[in-house]
Amino acid sequence: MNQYVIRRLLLIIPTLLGVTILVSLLVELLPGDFVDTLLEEYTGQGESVQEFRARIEAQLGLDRPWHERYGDWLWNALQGDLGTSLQGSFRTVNEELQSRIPVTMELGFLALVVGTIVALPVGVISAVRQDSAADYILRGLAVLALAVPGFWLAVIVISIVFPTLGLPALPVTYSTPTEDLPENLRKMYVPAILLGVALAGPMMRLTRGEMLEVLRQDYVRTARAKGLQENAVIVQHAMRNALIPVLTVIGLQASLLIGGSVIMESIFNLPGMGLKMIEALKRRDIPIVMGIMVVIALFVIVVNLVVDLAYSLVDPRIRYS
Amino acid sequence: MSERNYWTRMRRRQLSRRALLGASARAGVGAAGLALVGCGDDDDDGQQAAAQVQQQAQQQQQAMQQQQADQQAMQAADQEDQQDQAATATAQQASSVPGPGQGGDSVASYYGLNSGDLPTLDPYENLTYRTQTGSGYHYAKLIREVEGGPGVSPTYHGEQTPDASELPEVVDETTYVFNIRDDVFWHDVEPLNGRQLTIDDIMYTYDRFREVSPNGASWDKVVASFEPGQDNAITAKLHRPHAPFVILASSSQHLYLIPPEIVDDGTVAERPVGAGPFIFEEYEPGVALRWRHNPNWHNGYNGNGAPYLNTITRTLNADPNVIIQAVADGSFDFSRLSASVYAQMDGALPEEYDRDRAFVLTPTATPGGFYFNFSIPPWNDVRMRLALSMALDRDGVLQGTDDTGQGVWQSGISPMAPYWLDPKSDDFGPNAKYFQLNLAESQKLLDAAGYPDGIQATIHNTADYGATANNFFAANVASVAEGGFQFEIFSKEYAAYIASIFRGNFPDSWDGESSHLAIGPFYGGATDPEDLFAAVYSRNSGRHNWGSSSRTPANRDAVLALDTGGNAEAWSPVDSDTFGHPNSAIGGGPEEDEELHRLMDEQRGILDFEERVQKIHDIQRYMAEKMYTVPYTAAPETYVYNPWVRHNDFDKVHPKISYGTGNAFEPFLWIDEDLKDELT
Repeated sequence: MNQYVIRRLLLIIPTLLGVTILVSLLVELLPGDFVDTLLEEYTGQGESVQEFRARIEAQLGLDRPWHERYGDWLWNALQGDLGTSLQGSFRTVNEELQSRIPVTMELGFLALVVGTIVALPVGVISAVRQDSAADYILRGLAVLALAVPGFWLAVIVISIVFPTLGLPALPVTYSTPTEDLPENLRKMYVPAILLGVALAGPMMRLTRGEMLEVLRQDYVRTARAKGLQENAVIVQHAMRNALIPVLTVIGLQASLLIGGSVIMESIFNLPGMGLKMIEALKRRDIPIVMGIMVVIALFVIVVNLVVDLAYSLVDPRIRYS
Repeated sequence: MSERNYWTRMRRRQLSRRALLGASARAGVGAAGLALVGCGDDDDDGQQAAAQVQQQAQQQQQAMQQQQADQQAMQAADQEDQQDQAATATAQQASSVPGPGQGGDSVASYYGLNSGDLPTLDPYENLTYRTQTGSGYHYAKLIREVEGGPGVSPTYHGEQTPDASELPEVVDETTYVFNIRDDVFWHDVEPLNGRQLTIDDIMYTYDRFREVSPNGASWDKVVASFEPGQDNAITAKLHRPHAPFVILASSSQHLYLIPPEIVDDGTVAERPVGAGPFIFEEYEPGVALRWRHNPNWHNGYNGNGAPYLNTITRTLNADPNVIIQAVADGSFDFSRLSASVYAQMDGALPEEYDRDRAFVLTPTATPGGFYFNFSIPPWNDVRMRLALSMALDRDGVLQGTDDTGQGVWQSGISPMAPYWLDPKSDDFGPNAKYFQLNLAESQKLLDAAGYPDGIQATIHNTADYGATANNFFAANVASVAEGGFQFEIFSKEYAAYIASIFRGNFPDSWDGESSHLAIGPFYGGATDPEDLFAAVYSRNSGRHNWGSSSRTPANRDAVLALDTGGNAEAWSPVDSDTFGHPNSAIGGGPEEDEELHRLMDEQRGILDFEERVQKIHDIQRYMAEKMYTVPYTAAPETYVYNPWVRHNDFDKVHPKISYGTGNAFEPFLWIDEDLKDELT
């Protein structure tokens, strides 16, 4: 087991290296660069664009070839310095990430909790009461959760649900959990529910499918024949096996959460990584893009490792060596 | 209050404001003239200046008379308004509140739907409006734009007021003397601790501006020298007369005064300390910026106590639904909005609020329209551009996209008072016909240009300006379809668009027939027509670049092969500039238009305000017959204010729309906390 974990951890190094090379090259290949994005607000007053470009490129070191710039970035990154945004030096990329990672992680975690809390019981009930009215309604809701875009749901909630129900207004600023937990949760609960509902759709359908399959297994019939109570059959015997594929999906969803958080962060003004990533890509701010991509890649790798390790906890047949 | 009353009064107010603006602008010129009197000498320049002063004094007298008449008309209108407003409970509450100086804590969206992170707090490091706007709160300038008020156009930037310097003395047409004030102090926080602002500080910041700011080099193209002299004065000498120099000196993209201490200790990008109306407190990326009242602000003159607000919080929310809801529930005191969500905002505001007071609509400063690659057919043919303009149903587009009903037609420049010449006005002259919807004339021009069946093309833009802009672009494109211009929108990602289409680098490959055209804004926000001329039409502009990038031998064959007008055989392969296309004799872009460049150069050198305005009107008339860009319409910028937001002791808020809002307008806002408590 330990060797397996070490092997997986060591694999992170080439994976991250590959990701940074790929991202750096892809950003390089994109049409337009940071200097281009400055032009919309540049008046000129007699200076030609060629002069302007040469001056700014020289200032930012963008006039050097790609391999030199990447080499410098990698060398600094190995020493823990991910650089500074091209747009301005308010913060280093490290500082930016330090403040933004917790926000995205908190939103993702809360959404995952909401999604799991909703999906697992609903999926199980839907399977146990297969083809009943409850099953149809719950399946319908799951399809709805899959089909309705999160941003649309968010707009409906803000514009219609809140004013109609007279719910207290959401805070227009953000407090960290350590500064003010109730205020933080007041800001987070709507986006977390919306994101969680979107996650719950596929999780619920998978849980239902797996439960249906497990409930038809011989060992479940045996458990019932032994006279075990139905709750015990479902929770202790059926669910445990049905959850293994669901765990995989939760792992995959965790990485998708970052994508979903971009929209929610944008609508609800949450200072997370997703919003920053979009802004940086739009402005071709390479150091910020590279920094966030490193974090996302690392996150996905670690989550998948954790999920793999969790298999062995829920399924005794799985042993890593 | 009936809808009819509301609109009637709104239109009347706009007319009165426009009249007052003209008068105050003329008065401004007169004031500049008086400054000249004190600086005249015996040389030729001095004599010219004296003659100019005499003329300006007469203008000033006329302006004052006109202003008095306008003010009387305005007062009569205001009296009538007050009678109307007295009928509403809100107006009664508002009028019972005492004058300015009440303080309050203001929370609002930083930049409305365009709010977002500031990459730096150093305005010399990045020209983005996000940094420039924030800097206005905490930094002073040499001179600043006059604060807003009744009769001052929210988008007119030509009237200045002292800041760290008195208004400059105009010695001659290329020499300006800035007398630095001795009552200006940096904020009373570390590391400045309220020390006096000195001429050395200004020279330090000036040198740094030239060295660091992306605008430093372009400033040098205008200003030959900027040197301290005797008696705490700085003399600016220009290379040649430059009419908008004073605007340039007060512009938010230029001389914000930054003390050396925060540059030396490396905190300039994170923790600004200035001499502006508000003291910087905090910037939380992705969340908000916060400031507090500067009790020692040097412009709190005449005991007016400005800035009035105790604290300012500007949040970075950009979602329209969140902003609308926050204004409606009182979380935001006010917000900038888009005209397209005006109706939604109107519906969300409590019914009892006076709409006339709540909404401020003002012409947008963002110019835009259809633009072209002129190096190949068919857009180098002026007939095609005129036909396109006459196929555009501008009023139809406004009807479909502008909820406010206050949109106007752009004219080649954005509708910035007083330079903009309304294509619908009689004053525009015969060329106004090119803006009118006239499908029969449009068809004749198409016939003459060799496109009797119209044209199908891909039209480029970027979708990254947001849903409102996209709907607007689509409405324009749909509008010209009936006139035979069948365009299919091809959207590029923002940076890719700016790097290619926006700069005139249309793809060499032919995306569709005659695809070398685009639609979109030309410039972020102009403070003077010169901004637009320099940024878009100048030979150095590099924005739309007017097709020069496509004139490479490498793509000549491709272009020849792609002639869609059936004229390929008539092309001469000799002329590498025009490809010898028969249409090149009729058309071409502004790059080759000597007359346009002569006119643009002339206006730059005209220091007489009225004369320059007339010249800029002439340029618009001239550009109408060339249609180098086919201007679309302009829905107004829309601002919404809750009833407890007060501006000086005016009956309603009169915003000043610029990146410098932090020192030109918001110091004179205050919050009636009692009314706020009552209404929320």
